Amino acid sequence: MRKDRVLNMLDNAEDNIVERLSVPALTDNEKERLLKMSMSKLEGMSMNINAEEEVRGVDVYRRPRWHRFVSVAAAIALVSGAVGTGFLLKRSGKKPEDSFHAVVSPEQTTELTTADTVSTDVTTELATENTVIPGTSETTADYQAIAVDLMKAMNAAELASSGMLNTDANSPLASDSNYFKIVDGNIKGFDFSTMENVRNFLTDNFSGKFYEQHSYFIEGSDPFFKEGPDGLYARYTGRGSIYGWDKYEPEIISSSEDSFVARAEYEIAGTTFQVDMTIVKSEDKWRVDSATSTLSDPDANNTNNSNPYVSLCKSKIEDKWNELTNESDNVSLDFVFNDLDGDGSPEFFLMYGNGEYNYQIDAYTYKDGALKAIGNLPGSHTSFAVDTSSRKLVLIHAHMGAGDYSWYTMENDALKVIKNEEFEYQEWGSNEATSRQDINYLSKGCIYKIGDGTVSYTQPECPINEIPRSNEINSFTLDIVDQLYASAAE
Amino acid sequence: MTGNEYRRLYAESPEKAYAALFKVYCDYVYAIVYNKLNRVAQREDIDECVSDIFADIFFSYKRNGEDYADLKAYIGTIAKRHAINSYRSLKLRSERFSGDSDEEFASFADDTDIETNSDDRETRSILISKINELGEPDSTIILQKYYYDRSSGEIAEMMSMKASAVRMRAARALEKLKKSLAAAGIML
Repeated sequence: MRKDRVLNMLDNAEDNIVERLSVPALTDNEKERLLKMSMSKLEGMSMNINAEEEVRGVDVYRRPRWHRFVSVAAAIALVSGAVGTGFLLKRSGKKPEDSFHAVVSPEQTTELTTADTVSTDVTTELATENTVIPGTSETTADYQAIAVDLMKAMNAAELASSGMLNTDANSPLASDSNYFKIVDGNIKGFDFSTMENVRNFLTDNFSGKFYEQHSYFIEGSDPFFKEGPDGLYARYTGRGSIYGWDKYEPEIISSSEDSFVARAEYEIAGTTFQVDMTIVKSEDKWRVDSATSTLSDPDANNTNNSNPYVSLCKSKIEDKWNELTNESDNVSLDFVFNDLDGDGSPEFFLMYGNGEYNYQIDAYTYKDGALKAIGNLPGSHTSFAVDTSSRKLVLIHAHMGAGDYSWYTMENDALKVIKNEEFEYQEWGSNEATSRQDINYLSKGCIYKIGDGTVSYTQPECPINEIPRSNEINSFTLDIVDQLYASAAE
Repeated sequence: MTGNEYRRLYAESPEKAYAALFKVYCDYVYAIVYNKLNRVAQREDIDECVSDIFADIFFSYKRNGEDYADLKAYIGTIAKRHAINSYRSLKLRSERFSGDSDEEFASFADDTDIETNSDDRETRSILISKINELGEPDSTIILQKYYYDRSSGEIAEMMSMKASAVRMRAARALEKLKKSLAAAGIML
């Protein structure tokens, strides 16, 4: 400490104190120099925006669905000098099964825990039909058994790339601190502990488009797995796309000698999704060639198509989508409903941007048959949450091991912060501040675009120290807005 | 300055808008950044962080044309988040370089915790109230000299006073503050 700084007790003070400290502290020359520095940086940001988006796009591609959590994980890795890496990165000694429990509901966990035996059961049960597919040597039961095994592989791949690998957070790769040493590569019976095993896993289970979607495990300049001097290393998270199967009961909807399509449904937050898996045989082995998720029955999920408020919200989303996709190939929109003023008509919040650095949140209320803006907030490294008691919006900002919770209400048609609490963390969810029970992640919808691919998904409300379940539909769909609204309006 | 005023200025000339916004909020942003970083950062790091913040604010409006209902709150939020991020980066840097003989990083190697407790809050509150009681220009001079660590010459320039007058006022004000705080049970 400098000897003349006798007022150092004012460091790291509360907002009102800092406001009082806002006295002239810079000479005119210093101010002029700082303004020039800012302008110069602005110029650089503007000139490099396309290149920057491209680079960031790669980052986003690795974390489209959980990018906010990943930000937390990344922050922790930086903060602690790779001591902890968030709740997505498990510490040594934890079994993958333990990690998995954090992702799914207890009921689902129970069923999935016993899933290893499902294949046999299904085979046995369906073998009673044992219908030989015309022109093939396999029966329907055979195809179902094959599909079950491959569904498990799909699930393992998503879990592995969603932070469920057991890695040592204290052992980053010397050449790239984004990678951590894998100490137990077992995910639901699949071994990801060596690069050879990962390659074999991919080539044994996936082909065609589905293989390409997962080739980032081992290929490219920024693969998910990297070999280190003493074993295999993995990034803290990858793409993350867990199929929410409660049970492994695929239906075979078409088949031929060397390919068949299996359909399996799952339900999240009252919405049923179905995954059609095209499974192809080559070199005497069956592999998942492609998988498409769709709403199982779109009409059944659209309960508010006639609601004019929801239609306006959809239009707002669509307008923002069109605006941003005209500018960039990397776009993300998150949206939630929350009844801030308790009038039974939930307010609408839309977070959007081309990258974590420029996310914004627009907030609207429904008034006189129109959307009325009630506020605009920065959305960088921010997640939507809800106070479990008041049911009012809480925004969680977390980055680089520090953050804050902000509770919101609405007064005079404007957002108002009720209170704000700061916190720190080494590992998200590991301390009281980041595992508190009075705040849940808010049920939300998201539509994002990376390059040519567009994905829509919803995720239900869940505790902040858990990873929300979610689904993905490989297309732009506003149907999910209806479901979100219906849930919030209840 | 409000969001509307900024928008109007921007329409006239973006450069004018940048300069005006910077002029109005420079001290505020600097206060936020300095408050978070000064224990772990060099003055250059603080300057870097402040310029990053304004570049971000300018860029955000330039790119998105957003209307900020409460411009000050928006700027405060951006500044605070940037400052916390910089704090973390600097801490990491110090940890990475710990054991290094480079003195630049040695000063970062403490375990300063940015968490605060209620006792500290109360002390700060009393301290600020006692500084306010000094009245102007002494309260500002005290903060500039004993919090921002500026020289009497620099303060003189900022306050349009003579350096000798600043030195005299600062010394007298500090004594007065010490007595006032001692009466409240706080020793400087």
